[in-house]
Amino acid sequence: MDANEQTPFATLAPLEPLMDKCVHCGFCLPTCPSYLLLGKEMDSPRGRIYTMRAGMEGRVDMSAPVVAHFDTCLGCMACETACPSGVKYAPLIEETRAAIEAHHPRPLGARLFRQLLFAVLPYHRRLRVLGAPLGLARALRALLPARLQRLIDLAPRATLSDLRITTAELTPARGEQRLKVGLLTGCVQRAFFGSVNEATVRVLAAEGCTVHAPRAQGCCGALALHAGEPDTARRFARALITVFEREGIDAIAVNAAGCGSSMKEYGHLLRDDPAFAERATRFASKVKDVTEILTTLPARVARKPMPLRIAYHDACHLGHAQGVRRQPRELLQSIPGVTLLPVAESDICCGSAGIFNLVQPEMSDALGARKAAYLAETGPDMVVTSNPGCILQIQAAAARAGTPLVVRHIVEVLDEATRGM
Amino acid sequence: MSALDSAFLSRLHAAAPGGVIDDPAERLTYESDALVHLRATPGAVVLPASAAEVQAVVRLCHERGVPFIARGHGTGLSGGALPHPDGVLIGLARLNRILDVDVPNLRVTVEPGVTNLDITRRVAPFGCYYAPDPSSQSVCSIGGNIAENSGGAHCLKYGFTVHHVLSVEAVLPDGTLTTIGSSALDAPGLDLLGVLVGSEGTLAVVTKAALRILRRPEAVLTLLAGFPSIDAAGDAVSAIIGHGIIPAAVEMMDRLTIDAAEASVQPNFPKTSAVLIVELDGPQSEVDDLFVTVERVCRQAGAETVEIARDQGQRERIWKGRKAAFAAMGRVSPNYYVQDGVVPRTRLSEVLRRIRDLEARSGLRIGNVFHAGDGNLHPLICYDEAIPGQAQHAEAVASEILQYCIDAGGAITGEHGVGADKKSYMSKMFADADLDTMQLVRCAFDPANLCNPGKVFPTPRLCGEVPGPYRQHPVERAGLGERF
Amino acid sequence: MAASHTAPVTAADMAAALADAARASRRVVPVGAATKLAWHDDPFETADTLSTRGLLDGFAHYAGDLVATIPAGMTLAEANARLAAAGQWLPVDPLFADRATIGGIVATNDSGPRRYRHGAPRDLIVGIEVALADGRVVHAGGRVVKNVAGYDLSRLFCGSHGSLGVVTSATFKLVPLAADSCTLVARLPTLAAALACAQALAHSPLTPSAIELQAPDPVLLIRFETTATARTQMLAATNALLQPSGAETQVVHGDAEHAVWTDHDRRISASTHTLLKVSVLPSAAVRVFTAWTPGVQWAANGRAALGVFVVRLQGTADHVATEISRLRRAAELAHGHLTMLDAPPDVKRLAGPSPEAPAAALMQAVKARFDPHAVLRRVCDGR
Repeated sequence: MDANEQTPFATLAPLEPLMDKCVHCGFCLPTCPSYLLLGKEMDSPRGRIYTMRAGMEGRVDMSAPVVAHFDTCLGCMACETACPSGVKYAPLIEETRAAIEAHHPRPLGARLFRQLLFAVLPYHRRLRVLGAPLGLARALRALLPARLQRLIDLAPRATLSDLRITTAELTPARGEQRLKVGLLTGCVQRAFFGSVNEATVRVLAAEGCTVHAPRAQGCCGALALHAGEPDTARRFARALITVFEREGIDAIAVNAAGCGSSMKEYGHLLRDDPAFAERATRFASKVKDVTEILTTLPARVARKPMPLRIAYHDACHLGHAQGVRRQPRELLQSIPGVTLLPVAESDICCGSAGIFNLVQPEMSDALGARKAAYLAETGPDMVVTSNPGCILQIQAAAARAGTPLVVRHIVEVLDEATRGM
Repeated sequence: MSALDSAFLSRLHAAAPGGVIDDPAERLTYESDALVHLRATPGAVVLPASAAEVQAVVRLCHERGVPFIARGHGTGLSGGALPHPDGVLIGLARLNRILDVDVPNLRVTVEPGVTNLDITRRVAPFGCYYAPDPSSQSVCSIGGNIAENSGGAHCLKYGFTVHHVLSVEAVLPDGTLTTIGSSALDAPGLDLLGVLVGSEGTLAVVTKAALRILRRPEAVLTLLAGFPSIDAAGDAVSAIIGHGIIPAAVEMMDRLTIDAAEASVQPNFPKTSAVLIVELDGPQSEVDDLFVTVERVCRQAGAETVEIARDQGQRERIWKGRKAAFAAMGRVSPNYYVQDGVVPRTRLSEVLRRIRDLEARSGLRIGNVFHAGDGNLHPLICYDEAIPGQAQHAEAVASEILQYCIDAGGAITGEHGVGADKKSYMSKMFADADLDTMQLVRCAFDPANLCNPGKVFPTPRLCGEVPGPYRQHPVERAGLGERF
Repeated sequence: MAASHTAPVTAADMAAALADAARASRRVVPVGAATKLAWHDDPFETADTLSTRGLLDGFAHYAGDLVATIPAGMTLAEANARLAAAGQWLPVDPLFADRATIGGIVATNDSGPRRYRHGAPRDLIVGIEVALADGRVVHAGGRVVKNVAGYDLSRLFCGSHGSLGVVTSATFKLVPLAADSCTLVARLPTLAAALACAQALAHSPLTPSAIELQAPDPVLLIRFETTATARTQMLAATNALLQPSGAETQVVHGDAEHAVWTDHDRRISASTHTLLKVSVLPSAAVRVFTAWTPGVQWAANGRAALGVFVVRLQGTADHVATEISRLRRAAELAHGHLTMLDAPPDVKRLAGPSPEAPAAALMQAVKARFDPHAVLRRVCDGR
């Protein structure tokens, strides 16, 4: 009897070369939010890779305690940045999560809650339907189970006008066209941060981009992928690729870091799909964070002065997963009067991390408090970041700590600086 | 299952509530530190949240004759935190608070789980830093630094951990909590602190440390020079010292390690046979004066390129290349073995020549990265585990290099420690009487041989006055780890 | 039985002499130049002496490695004269530096003004050879500066005052002789101002090799050993830093500089009175140097920025003992301690023993392992 045949971790076997890269040096530990909070080897990337291997070799079972240590991973990928040996952790944790969802029966409550999240979050229409009566739900909060209370607490206080915003399908470039850009309008972004999409369109158009925002597009699949539901993620990915292929565009602009990092990996996600493998790779090569696009286009529009002390927060899926750190800073510094403040622990996750803040609330709150404190310490006029999840998380944590912070998406700031110029 | 009985485990839970890890799958992740070929699953892992909990755990172990091993963040390269299968691994990761920063007196007080770099980060706003800077400084713990007497690139000028520790609070192997040393200099009596630092966790478990911090120098100047050969670079080092200059750091890398670093972090080093990094620090006027000499000496020794980093960004890039060298070896070789030996600086060329001959003879590539200022060599022996017998071959090669160091009048470890890995080499460097004398200290601190047993010494010493329960654990069993 | 005096010429003979003493249960005291023999709380009147002055073989200077092995009987002055041939020195400047032997310097861990830059003997020693009471000669450390193989017994023997064994030779790291040296002598209006200036210097980017205080008439001796250009700039910066405190300054070089430092040592060591060492947190030093007991004359030299001071007291035994108690309390309040170096027997008796060291039991346990028959001296201040 072969142990590998039996172990639920067997699907990790093809990834063994990735695990071999890990020399157990521990450089990932201090950048890992879960290790920082819990101090346990099992809750560190090094420990998790060790457990994956032990699982694959049949030395450990997929028991509840083992699964719990994979659940504490935020998927922030700070470990990949810190790793001198070049270990690719993202595919390892994604495959492990898929194995867990396939083999590990979760308690009924947790299962239902996750199903609810996946039934609602990726669908902007369902979110919108839900968004309007949130006011009512808030009023009745005390009557709801704890997990649902949490969902309501974190939900953005979208105004009705936010909820009504729909981005135009085609926005022509101002002046001569420099690029033809597709815009991912997103699911959560589209439902609750319509104004961020509007600002993105205005800034891109002002800099000479024709912006296509096809209404038929749906979720990019990132939430599902990070939660161990790769089949769902692949379904979303195929649909998105199809929608954008029709437009014949130069680049696909993304203003949500988590979406961007997943879309850049579509080639890997659909590698075994003969109909899509090549198309996915081509698509992925066009995916750019909006700040990447803007820094490649020498500014055409002057920025009006904004005397602001700004603390920039690196979204993990932008900084660690996509390596985009320089571009947003350059853009902010292109605005006269802006001072960028150094922030302690800038490489550590704020605790939002996809659905992490919904499924691991205690850890998420602790990380949020830590992040809010370090940001507040710099005495900023404004905190700027590039991911909707981070905005919600930091705002909520700062409010809880009694040190409210103004948190804005970077394109909103750029929009304000370029408007009317 | 754990070899520790359930009565013991329940008392362990009481000693450190919420901090005990006894699930077998969870204990597995503590099998090794950063030296992965030595593994042993600990009988139990405990993560105390206070010094009082550490004390309670040690007391319990003492009472029951159970071995205990302290561990920081598991970054050691000599298996110093290799667990004991019948023992308790005391993880100090949760004792990670900086308790006091006393800028006027240039002192900080920290718990052992604080990382080396955290101290510098914390005191940087006051224009200060913590001097010892091992390559793993972003993750290694101060407790571990104290155990290993860690150095780093800048110890040439600023000394080792022992020169920066003023006092510690420690739990002795019998469970007594005591203070060794004092915040003011020259604590009365014997310098037990001097022997505790570098004792590799075999004398006590440190729960708190008062450390010296330094003022940031006014100027730092880093020079990166490319040489046509290791010998030429070595000549430059001798000439610099010969001119009466003690740089803050002098580091050397050979071509193989340059290429590995390039593949990992792109430091943009010159593509020469050797590079030398020389760092000078101090008052601006002094640095400027000395730099003229250093640059001239490098060119006279045959430097093909000389690059000067004058700002923080350039300097960070150079040091990133140097500090990533070990782990970056993983990019050019499937596996590698890091050796740590010391030779008198004047014997560097000769020893490196022997290493090159060995490389040719063994068929294994050997990268060399070293602290040239103090003769601390780190040969990186590349091998492929998948090729049968090559791992053992690499180990034999590494061992031969140590013999070269001993032959040249050097030492078997400059900073990684003896741990479990090198204890058999101790008798090549020291006579039995020397080792016996060191163990007199061990016996005074830990007569029952429970505190990190099986490390440092090739054969444990029977201390005479051994308490009862100890006899149930024959000394020969202490420290047995599985060798893979 | 009359006390005997032996002077072995090899480490093996020294060990044999120790073993003989152990067999006969005779107490022995190792002695070098005897300049600091009294710096101990153990009077040892009845002990035999074992001189280290015959241990003169085995000097080795590894100039290219900046390391030297020096036999215990050699004086520091002679060792440094030899090392100077290659432009190097062992950077310790203890009291009685002209006569003190290497063995005695290791045993007392004594250091002087330039400890500020170079540290104490403990910070410079890299290897040691000792003769033990069981008749063996053993080694620890080595002759390379960087070495973490085994316990650092070299440090343990530094400051052990002959309680664990007899040091027969020691290996140190050396430093190059400075190209240029000068000392700025600054007279300050008050002791508080002098101490504040010392602190300010320690927190400045300047790198003097000594920041030395003289009291009660407050003077700072600030020494620079660097390149000529750097020295000029650092002197200017130091003057600027001292000026607001009302300092009167003067710079001395060459023979004049040598004289300043010789006089500095003599202030403390010239006559035999009560000699103490006070170690405190540097920022709290000012609190120790106030409210002196009436009727006591005092003088102090000190590494002001390190918080280590050597204090000389003069007066009636009663007064001096009262002052010692006051200083001891003041030092403790300043997170430090007082150690008695030398004092007339009646002062030692009246002042009483020093308080128990926190790790005293552990020190005694170590002592018992090295010297099970208690033939060597007690652990100094180890109660």
